[in-house]
Amino acid sequence: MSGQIWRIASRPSTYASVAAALLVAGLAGCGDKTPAASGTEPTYTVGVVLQLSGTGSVYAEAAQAGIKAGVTDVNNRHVAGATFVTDVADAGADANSVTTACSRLIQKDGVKAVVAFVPGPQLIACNAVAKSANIPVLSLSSGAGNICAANLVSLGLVPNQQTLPIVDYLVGQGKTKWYFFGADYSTPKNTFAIAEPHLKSTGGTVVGESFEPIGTADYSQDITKIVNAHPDVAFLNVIGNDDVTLQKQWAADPRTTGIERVDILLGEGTAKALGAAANGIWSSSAYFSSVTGATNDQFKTAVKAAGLNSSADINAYISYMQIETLAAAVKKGGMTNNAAVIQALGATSMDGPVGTFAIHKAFSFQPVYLAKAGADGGFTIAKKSDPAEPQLSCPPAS
Amino acid sequence: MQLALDVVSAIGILVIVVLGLAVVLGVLDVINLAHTGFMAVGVYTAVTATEHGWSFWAAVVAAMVGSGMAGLVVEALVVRRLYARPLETILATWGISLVIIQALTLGYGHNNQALVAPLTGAANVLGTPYPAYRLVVIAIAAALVAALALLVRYTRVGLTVRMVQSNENLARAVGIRVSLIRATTFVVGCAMAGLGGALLGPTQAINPNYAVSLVATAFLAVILAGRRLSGVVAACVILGSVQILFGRWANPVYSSTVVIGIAVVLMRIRPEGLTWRRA
Repeated sequence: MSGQIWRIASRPSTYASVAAALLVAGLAGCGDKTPAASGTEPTYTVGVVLQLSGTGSVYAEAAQAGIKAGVTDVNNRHVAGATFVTDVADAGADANSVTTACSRLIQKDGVKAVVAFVPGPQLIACNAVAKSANIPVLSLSSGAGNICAANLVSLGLVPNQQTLPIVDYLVGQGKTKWYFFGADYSTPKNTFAIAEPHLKSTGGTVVGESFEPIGTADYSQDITKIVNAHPDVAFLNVIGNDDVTLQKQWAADPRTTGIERVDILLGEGTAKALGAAANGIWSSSAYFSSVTGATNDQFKTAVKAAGLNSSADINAYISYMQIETLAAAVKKGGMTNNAAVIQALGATSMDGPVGTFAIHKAFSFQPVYLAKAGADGGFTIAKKSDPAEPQLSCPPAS
Repeated sequence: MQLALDVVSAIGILVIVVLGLAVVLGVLDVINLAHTGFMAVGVYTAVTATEHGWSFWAAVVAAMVGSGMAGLVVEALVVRRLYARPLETILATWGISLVIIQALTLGYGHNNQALVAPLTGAANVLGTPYPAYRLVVIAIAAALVAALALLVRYTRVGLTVRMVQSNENLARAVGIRVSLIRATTFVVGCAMAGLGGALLGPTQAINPNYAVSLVATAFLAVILAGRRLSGVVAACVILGSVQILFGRWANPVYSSTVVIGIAVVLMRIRPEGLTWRRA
């Protein structure tokens, strides 16, 4: 056996194959850096970790455009007193790959802060590296209000902020029977754990709950299960490309007619790609491109100039606000004092594209919009809810 | 009835994914890890064609041609040099799949693409409404199996391929151009991948990592199948049924694990494949 392996290893074609594969894998795994500033301001390097491969890669373009627009804006306005440059790393699809990416950014490249655009389990892995170096981390994911650390602020909504308003709204319209369906990981489960008692307290009932693993390609039997439970509302909490697959299959299935869909993880860009399959999906979010106002128009123009071909969405908005928030905190705390930057992040209150954006208890505090998708994938705003304090369940050690 | 349709639909999808893989493995002994890449080439070709005003079915044909041409290039540049070296073909086709993913990312970006099904709405099957397009996919899967069976069993081409499959040296000795048969088989396998990619496009997320979540079960099926078409069908029926029935009656979170477990047990019992017959 070892002789055979040696013979295989000694062939030129083997070397060529290995070299080609490693070259490609290397190109895929490496990120890229914006060029260093040439002006008189000092440089502040921000590590950006996001999924450029795997199921979450569907959010990558919007996130990158938001970050680029944010960097352009803070540098043009000299917000931080330093020139922001970014250093991008691919988070891959699991905890090991994101640990490698964050270790590279923090230990090798020496970034001053990390902007994380990854789901909860990957955020925990990345923050383990960042926390030990006292590096500020600005995250998209809030977990479900249970990922907490002294160096971490989360800009995404926690479940009570995002989910409860849509529950109240639809129950108020007589949609009382709900089915909860999600991907098999912590965020959907924690979201349901918060939504279910609230639904029951408002007079609703849960007619079923089930989960599928991440990476499911055929949801036909799940749709059958949901339809057979006869809900008024199907609360679908599946992430990334899986969400696209589920929504396509749901929309194509005639049995689902008459069941309202709620999907709080569906970005507008993805909804546009779904087209008619997105028709009728309810969502709640801190941002929709259809929010009217001059500042939102400016934001949409900025992310388009930054290379976003699809509609501006929550992912572009959050990534933009990550940079804006960090720049304001660096201005307050100074670019060499991480502890002061972290403290300043916790006291953030600023004007954003759709109104006031603030950080309370290290989590976001902002209005929530309820909206329904049309046949073109665009969302029409139905209601704006006031900001709600984040309900957290942080472990004691954090 | 609903459950039966879900099971048949899952089997049909699996068959469409597996056939191209099975053709390449069965005749060439090549485990084509670039199969999902060729499916992605197919679906992106179909997306591009429909964006240029082609009908869905014309786009499906274009997908087959596009993937077949990509397969021709890959066979000529890489795979041809690696026949009879299974470990190296695995590594090489994995590298090719990465190249395809990166090329599609550069060309189209990470965002999802749209491919609208030619049929919307429901059809009634014995009084049970079911998505019409899924029924079409099931019918196409059945037609592909039947066509392939007829081709292999009753045509001169099929006879030639079977001869190359069973004894290359003998085939060469009687004047068969083995290299041409190999290249053609690889191209046909890739074209079938493209066909599957385009057909499943309206039901799946279309991005550069297209079909990755479909292919794990497909690889199990093709390894379980052995060298016969009947084995491929049997493997798809077993794995597709288990996937759906376990998900329905137990916990879908564990259905993939159960599918793998059953495949391992069957491979232990019948290591040469489901339809292998003792000599």
